[in-house]
Amino acid sequence: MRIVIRAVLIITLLNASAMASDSPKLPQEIINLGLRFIDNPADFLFDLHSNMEDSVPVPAYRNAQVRFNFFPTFIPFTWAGLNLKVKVLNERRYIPQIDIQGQYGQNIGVAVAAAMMSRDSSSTSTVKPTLYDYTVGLILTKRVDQSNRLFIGPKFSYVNLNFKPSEPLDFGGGLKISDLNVAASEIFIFGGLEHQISKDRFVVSQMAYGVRYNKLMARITASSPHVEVGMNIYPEGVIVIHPFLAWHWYF
Amino acid sequence: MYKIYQICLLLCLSSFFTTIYSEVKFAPYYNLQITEGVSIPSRGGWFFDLHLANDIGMIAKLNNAHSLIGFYQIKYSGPGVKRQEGEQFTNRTMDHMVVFRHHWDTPWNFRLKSQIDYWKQLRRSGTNELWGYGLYDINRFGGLLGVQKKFGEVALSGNFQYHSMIFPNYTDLLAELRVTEGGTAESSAGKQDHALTQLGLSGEWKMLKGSVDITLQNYFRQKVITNIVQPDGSFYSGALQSDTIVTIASAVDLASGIFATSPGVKYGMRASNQNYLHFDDVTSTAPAKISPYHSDYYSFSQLSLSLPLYLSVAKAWELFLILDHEIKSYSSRPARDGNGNFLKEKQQNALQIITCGFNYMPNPVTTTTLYLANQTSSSNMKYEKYLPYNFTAFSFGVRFSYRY
Repeated sequence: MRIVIRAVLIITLLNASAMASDSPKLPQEIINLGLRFIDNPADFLFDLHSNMEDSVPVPAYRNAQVRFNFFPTFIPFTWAGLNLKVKVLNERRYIPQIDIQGQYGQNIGVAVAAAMMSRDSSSTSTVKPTLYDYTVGLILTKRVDQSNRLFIGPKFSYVNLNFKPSEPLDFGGGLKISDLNVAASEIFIFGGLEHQISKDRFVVSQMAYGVRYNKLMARITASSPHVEVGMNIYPEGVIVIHPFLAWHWYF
Repeated sequence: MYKIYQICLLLCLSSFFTTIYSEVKFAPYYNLQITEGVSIPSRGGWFFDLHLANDIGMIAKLNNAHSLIGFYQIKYSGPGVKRQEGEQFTNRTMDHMVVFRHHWDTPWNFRLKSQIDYWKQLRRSGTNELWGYGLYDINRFGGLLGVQKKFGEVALSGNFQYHSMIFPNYTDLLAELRVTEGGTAESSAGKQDHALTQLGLSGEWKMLKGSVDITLQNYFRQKVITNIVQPDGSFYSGALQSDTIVTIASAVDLASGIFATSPGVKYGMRASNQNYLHFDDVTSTAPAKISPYHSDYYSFSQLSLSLPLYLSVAKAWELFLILDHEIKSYSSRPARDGNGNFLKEKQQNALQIITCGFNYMPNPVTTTTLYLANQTSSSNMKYEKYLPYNFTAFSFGVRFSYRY
């Protein structure tokens, strides 16, 4: 069971121990990335979580949308999440379209490790590992011409990682983890432009600003009826650009 | 009677706004620009550059005479080779700006502009600081009044601007300690706060354009430093710092077939009444024994030349080469040697940037740019313990712009 936890942590935390070690085989830039991650692990987890959020408005002729981010969260970090958006008000002349956004995700690898820990009678740890995240938001959208809509809104994001092994895990290079408890939240104001190419095909550009910790992020998306590709940009992140691949379904 | 008057007024106002609003035409304004690159300076190691800017706004044409423009800009400038003197490569800034502008095309054949704006800049010198605690964080608030008029082929415009610049976190504890025995320390908080008052004139005639700007920078609390100890034990006189900045610029847009260029020249001059009192070390409380006082330390003139060349090689492809050259000459500030000793010659900085690359514009709203740049900064200022003055830097990267 400890092997599973170790494996999941290594994948989920981007093999931070290897990055931080003084192995001569690792380039200095990679070591710096690892050190930046260890300096603020919540920030990197938050960036991964943000990949799973989707604050693009529901198309005017649809009622809801579900989105699943495949890369870089489910693969390679086994972090699975669904983002649901529901249109609650159609746009009228002086009233914007209003959508409610909700997202929930959980790391499957960590959940499996927790389940195995429950079955392992030799485990003395009282804290089961968890890694989950959620977002709630509101999207206000106004059409500005035939193919373009501007949207803005607020959202609340939260990530939680809790892990306490019965014995400290030694990752080598002098790095031992005895307790990892990360809880990060932020309130974002986001805004962007949706440009419609054809039915269910869009190019969307957006940016979000965290009002509590001044966190910035931007996203450019090209979407077809079921597939989204694009990149997320986290200017102060451990990894600045996250290319992504996601699926969505309209209702 | 008064209630009837109020109801009538409300009805009139609502009728007025409904009439106006029913004719309003909206147009979006959106711009996202991302630059990601690598810089390799001759001093220190290489690093990633990142710049991000996002404008979101709306233009509302109320009727043929009146239009309103409102936009919000958020901008992030990450580590990079700095063009301006006195900045570390690791410096990063985050800007928020909100602008509301009104245009009125008057019946008297000129356009009247009015604007209020708010700008907040957060600064960090590295990743180990928190946003919002920078010593030089700025809050700027103010506005603009302007007029534009055409006289045949000549278009003239004039602007008057006023902005207050507040540095909420600024302090200088060392300056507070630098009072002679028996003196009282004055807080340095607020000493960077100042007002900017600007008068600008600009004109265009065919392909030629030019402008003259005069800016007064008046500090609210920063006093002029002297070489004589004042009654309060400090070296600050009673006069407040006041700078005058004059900028004259001109450029011409030329295009012929697939070739386009826009050479420009700019001359700037700053006259400041502030002086400089030198201390040997940051912890020294007494002025240096050798040449401690330098008057007119911050006045300078600056000449900038720019020659951008563009070549359209295909429908969506454009090659460019941009040459920038800048010379900054201080009026009285002496240069310093590598040990920090003042020299007799005046400080002079030179900057040269050569940028080349191509733009790819597959549609009217997106532009992808691949660029290579070489910057050479040189100065007779050789004291570079804290800030770089002499270096070369090579940068390359990609820029993506989405503008609607």
